Amino acid sequence: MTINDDDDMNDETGMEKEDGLKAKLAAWRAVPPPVDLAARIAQRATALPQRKPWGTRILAAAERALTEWRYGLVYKLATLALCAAFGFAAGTYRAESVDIVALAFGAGAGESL
Amino acid sequence: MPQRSMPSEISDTRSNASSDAALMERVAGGDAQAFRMLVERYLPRAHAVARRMLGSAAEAEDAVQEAFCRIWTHAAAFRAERAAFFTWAYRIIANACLDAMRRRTPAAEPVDDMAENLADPAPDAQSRHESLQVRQAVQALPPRQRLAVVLCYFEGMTNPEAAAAMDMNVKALEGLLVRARRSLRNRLDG
Repeated sequence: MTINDDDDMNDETGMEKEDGLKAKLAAWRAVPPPVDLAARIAQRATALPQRKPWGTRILAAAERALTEWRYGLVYKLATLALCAAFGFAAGTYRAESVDIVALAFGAGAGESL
Repeated sequence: MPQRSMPSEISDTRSNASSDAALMERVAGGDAQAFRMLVERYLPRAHAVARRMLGSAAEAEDAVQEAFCRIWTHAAAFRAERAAFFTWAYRIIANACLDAMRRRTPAAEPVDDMAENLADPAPDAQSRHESLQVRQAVQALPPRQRLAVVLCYFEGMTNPEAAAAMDMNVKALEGLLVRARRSLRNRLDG
C-alpha cells in the first residue's frame, strides 16, 4: 500500500514509525467466532425472503397474472371497470347531440303542434 | 513506500474472487448450501472486523448476523463485474458495524469487562496487557478512523480496497489513516 500524505511517512524515520505501530497493533489478536455461529447465521438468514430486482419482480408478476386467472383478481377487475368507465365516458362525449324538435318534425308530429 | 504486511486470509480472499462470484450467483438463485459456504469462508474475518469495531462479543455477533442476512436478502443486487465479492461484503459488514454504533446509547458503551479479557487469545500477562492497550487505543478512535485502521492494518486491505469498502475516495481514506495513526501513536507511545 502507499501512504503519501502523512508528513512522517516520507522518510526512513516515518517507515520505522510505521513498522513500530504495526508491531504494536499486532499485539491485539482476533478472537475466533463461536463454533456454532456460522450455522446459526446461515439458518436465520436463509429463512428470510430474498429481494429480487424491480425488473425481475415486475416480469414475474406479469407472467403469473397471465397464467393464473385468480392472481391479482381485484386489480384485474378494477382495471376492467376503469376501462369500461373510460369507454363509456368517451362514447358519451363523442356522441352527436340530438335535436328533439327536429326529430319530432321529421316524424310528422310538427303538424299537430 | 512502506508496504503493509498482508494477513494470509486476505490474499486467500483475492484468489477466491472467481469462486465467490460463482457462489453468489447460486445464492442469488436461493441456494442455501452456497450461502453456507460463503458464511463459513468469510465469518472469521467478518467477526474480527465487528469485534474490533464494536468491542463487545454480543454486539459483534449481532452485527455479523445482520450483515450476512443483508448479503442473503440482497444477493441479487451483487454485480461481479462492478466489485469483488469481498469488497462488497466488507462494505455491508462495515455498514452493519457503523449502524450498531449509531444505535448505541451512551450507557450501552462497552466496557473492558472480565469476559473480554478472558477471551483474549494472548499467551501471557504481558501480551494481554499490550493487547489491552492496543484495544483501548483503537476503541478510542472515532468510528470511521477506527474502521479505516481495522480494514487497512488488521485486515491487510490496500487503500483502494478499504476506500471501496468504506464507500469513499482514496484521498479521504488516507486522511482518516493519517489522523488515526497520530492518535494511536499518542496513546501507545505516550
